[in-house]
Amino acid sequence: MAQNPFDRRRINGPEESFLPVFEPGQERPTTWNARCGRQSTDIRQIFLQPGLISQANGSAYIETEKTKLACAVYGPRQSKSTTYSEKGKLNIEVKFAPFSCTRRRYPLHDAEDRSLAVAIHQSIASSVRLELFPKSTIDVFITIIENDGIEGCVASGAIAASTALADAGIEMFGLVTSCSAAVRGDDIRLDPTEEETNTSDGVVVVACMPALSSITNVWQSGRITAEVTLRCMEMCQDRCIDIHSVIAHSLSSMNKAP
Amino acid sequence: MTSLSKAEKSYIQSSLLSDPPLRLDGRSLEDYRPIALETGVVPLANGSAKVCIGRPGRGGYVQEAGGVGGGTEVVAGVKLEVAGVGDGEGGGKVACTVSCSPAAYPSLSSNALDDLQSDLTILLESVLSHPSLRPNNLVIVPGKKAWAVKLDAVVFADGGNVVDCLMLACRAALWDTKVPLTKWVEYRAPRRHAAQGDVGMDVDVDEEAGGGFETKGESRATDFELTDYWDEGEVLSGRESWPVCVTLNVLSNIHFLDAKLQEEASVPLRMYVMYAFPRGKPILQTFRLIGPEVSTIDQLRGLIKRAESYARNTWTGLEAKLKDEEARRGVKAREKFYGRLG
Amino acid sequence: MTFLLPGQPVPVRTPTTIGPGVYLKHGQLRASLAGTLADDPNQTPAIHRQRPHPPAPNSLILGTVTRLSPLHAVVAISVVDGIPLPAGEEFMGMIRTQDIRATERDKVKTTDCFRGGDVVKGLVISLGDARSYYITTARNDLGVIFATSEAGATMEPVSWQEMRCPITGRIEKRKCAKPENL
Repeated sequence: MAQNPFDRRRINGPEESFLPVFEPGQERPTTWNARCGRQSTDIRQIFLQPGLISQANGSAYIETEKTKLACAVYGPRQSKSTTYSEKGKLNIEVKFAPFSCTRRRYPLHDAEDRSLAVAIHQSIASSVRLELFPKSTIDVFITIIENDGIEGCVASGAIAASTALADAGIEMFGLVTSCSAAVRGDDIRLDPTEEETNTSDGVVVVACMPALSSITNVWQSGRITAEVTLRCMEMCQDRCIDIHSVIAHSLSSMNKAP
Repeated sequence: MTSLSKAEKSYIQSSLLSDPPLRLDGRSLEDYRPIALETGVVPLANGSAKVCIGRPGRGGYVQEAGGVGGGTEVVAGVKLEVAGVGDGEGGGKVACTVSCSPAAYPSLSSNALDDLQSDLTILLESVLSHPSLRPNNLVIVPGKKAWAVKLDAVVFADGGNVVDCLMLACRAALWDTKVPLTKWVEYRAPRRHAAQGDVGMDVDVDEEAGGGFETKGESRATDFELTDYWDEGEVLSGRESWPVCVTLNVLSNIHFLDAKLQEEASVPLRMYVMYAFPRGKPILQTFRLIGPEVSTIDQLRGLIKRAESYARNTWTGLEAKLKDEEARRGVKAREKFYGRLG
Repeated sequence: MTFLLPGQPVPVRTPTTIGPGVYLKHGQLRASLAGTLADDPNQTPAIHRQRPHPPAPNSLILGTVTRLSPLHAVVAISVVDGIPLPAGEEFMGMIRTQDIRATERDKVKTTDCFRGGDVVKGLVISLGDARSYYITTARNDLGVIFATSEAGATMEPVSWQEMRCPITGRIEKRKCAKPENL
């Protein structure tokens, strides 16, 4: 019994239907939601693996939930600059994968790449014994595969870069670890997600060498009082000691394996 | 930036570390060079300021070593542009750009100059465009149009301490900015009587009063016009929360302010500390550590506290000067307006 | 053997000398590499790590002659202290005429000592200028170790100044290195 599929007297629904697509993160949350699953002083779990990129002299891959990045170290190789330099140069390049963010990133250099590279450079430059590499350049390339907040990328980038440098066998004063914090009112949360940083009053990123108890970088922006900033710095520094043991573990298991 | 020989470097360092400390131009460690500020220097901008730290140019009675005697000179201008508001944005943003004149850095290659510019731009952008500082009187038509604040700073000469100078100029330019007063304009479409009997569809016609533009409960205002008023407009709201910057130059256990280029090149660690004092309450707006030296938390704790008092001095001085400038220019503008009428 | 990480204090001993991979700061000896340290307290503390490193004064290098001029020969350094550098990451070196041989330096002609493509064993004497390291071959065991003749065959050394082509029998001039086992 062939039926006419189209009945003019009725309101016909469409023949096909699709679920509406809700893109997460498009509507910006404005509330400082309670954290699920971890305390405000907890950081996300870290997966760190040195030596994944076989082509490079040294490399590291780090993953903290939704922040994923890979870092490769080349060199020391001859500087291309035309001036004689007594100290080595540390060259850091950061690249976002086009699919690393909610909105597609145009695969060309933009300003954010450089600001990240500058921040990571500040974090690790003072840990490398550059005086041992005259006329040479050490290249560090960081690719961000997935991005969950710039602050997290700065912190994880510094950890990965330091691990990769150790893996490459480049002389350092100490391993650098880094941790970020977001502040809203008097509430401090360590290792914030992108959602948390977007709704916060300000953020603090601290990089330090726990072995020497010295601080290599502090990066604070936003509206925070000096007291709270200092408290953030202390909390981050404490947490950096835990991260240091993660690096130590990954490096020593790497050295025992072969 | 400036290349300094090892001998020169150690000469500067050892004289800074000697007791009492000596500086190239005889200042004490906590002294600034004289700062000159003028607002309203760019007639085409909505707000502008020029700041000089130290003597501009070389025309002084002391010619300094190396022929680089000049101070730092920065001009900042604010232009307001009408911009559309995207979905989910509050409307109104501040965008900063720093351009460095090649004349200020004759020894830098164009690549290095670009890097310097982008570094300064990123620093300023991260301070001034922070959501916590966004002025809330930039909206023209809610949900549709807003003023976009374009802040451009040009470094005409760099005699050291360029970040402090930039921040002073930008703060003064933003303080000086007047947002033109606007009125909404509404369109009201005539009541709709169409859509009856043209197709065989019998749909209820929307009988509500209201224009064809009214969908999704948005405001009816679609355009705006400028009101005629003797003054240029109202000031940016929240202008008392833009911070000032104090750069601390740290050399082992001493620190000093307002370094000249040679001094800048001979310290291993610098800190940019930006404080704002809205209603007298100190707020740390930005803190950055720059340089190949490490620090400790105790050192940072001490220096952040010290920086607060330095910043407060700068803040009070700037605030007083800006009020002076405002009064001076307000009188001038009124005279001009009434003079034209009379 | 103890495994150390960069920054970790080295458990010692009163060292008089410091080996590679270790540094002294504020009176504390620390590791600067991740690696193992020998437990012998009488040994110089050092962490050894095999990795390609840039030339330094006194490193023995192997390189290929890439360019000749009357004043110097340009060498692309590909092996430093027995460790090959990654492909494409050669360092540039320069042998000036006065550094080619130890005697009669004023009579040296670069074209009588090297040709393009020769593999040279040399010793780095200084970091040189911005572009290249300065290298010397003024020693018996330093100089050309591998060269091809105009006919394209690998030549064999006949004296410290000459090499012979096995095909044509022609003699070409080179500053040869003395083979090690002779």
